[in-house]
Amino acid sequence: MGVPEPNPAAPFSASPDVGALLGRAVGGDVAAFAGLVRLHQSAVFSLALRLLGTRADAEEAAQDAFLKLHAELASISDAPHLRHWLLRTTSHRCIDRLRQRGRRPATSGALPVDVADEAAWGADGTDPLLARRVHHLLGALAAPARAVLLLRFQEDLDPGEIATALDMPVNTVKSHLRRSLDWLRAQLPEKTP
Amino acid sequence: MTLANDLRTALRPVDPGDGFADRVLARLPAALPRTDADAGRDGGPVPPRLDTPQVAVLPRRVPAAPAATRWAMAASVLLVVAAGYGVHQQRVARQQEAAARELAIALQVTTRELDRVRARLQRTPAETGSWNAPSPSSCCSPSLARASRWLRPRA
Repeated sequence: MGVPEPNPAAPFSASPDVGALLGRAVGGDVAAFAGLVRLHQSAVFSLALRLLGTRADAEEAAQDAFLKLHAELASISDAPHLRHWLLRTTSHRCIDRLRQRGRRPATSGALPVDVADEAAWGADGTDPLLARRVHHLLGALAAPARAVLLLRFQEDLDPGEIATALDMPVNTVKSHLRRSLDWLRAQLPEKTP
Repeated sequence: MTLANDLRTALRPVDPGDGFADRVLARLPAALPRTDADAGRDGGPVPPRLDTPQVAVLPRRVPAAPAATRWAMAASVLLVVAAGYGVHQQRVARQQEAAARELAIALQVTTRELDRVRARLQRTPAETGSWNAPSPSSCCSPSLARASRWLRPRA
């Protein structure tokens, strides 16, 4: 079928096959839709995992996002739209889920840590201590601020794109970014600005 | 390293594990059309592709009537309302006519009674030479008696 294997480090828009896969998936090709899922699963799952905290919750939220994508495939115009749609839908679903559970990360402390995640930290060459520290610090942020930070530094969206994805004014996005970075800088004093 | 770089490094994408796409596909609706490859494997016919999303449409509770029937029903309702209004107007007009007739009769009776009393009052002093008014109660109704007292000349 020519469905590419996932490459978590590569940006989605760089893949030339996304548009073709999208066209075939809109036409009802299940294998093409599976290819789209494989191309985007890392980004969607990572976003959900760092917003919700556990792999089980993240898996469920990510699957829900892809199921919703399947139902609304006809409304997706191109690859960048697909990526934006997935990030937006996942962010909103995770924030809604956090609100429904009444979780307040600012008061409940750090996000829970799965053993599998903890073992994987550092496996790809990253500093495991830093990854662990960032994970715990993210858990202390409120959900909207965490979503802003993740879309900025995990997905490399600019403030305008984040504002569109999260339905908030650009100035609010910038304010979240500035406050979160100031707070993180205070928590990681060894880091330079 | 800067904080931004640290964040980008720490927030690298996490893979959900093997079989994630298969688990998503397993949750897709059962009515999903087969792919060309699927159809070719078992030699079955290729189903038509879906160009529009599948939307569940609930059946109407009441089937819609044809346009002509709807217009006829609307005209009938309008006709019944107009006829009812006409009947009501005719009844009001008849009541007004009857009231006018009764009022005319009452005025005629009153005029006749007043003429009769006035004639009697004018005739009585000429015949007797003095005022000898009849007893009001003996000649007419109490209201006319009060009228005759009012008409009596002052001394």
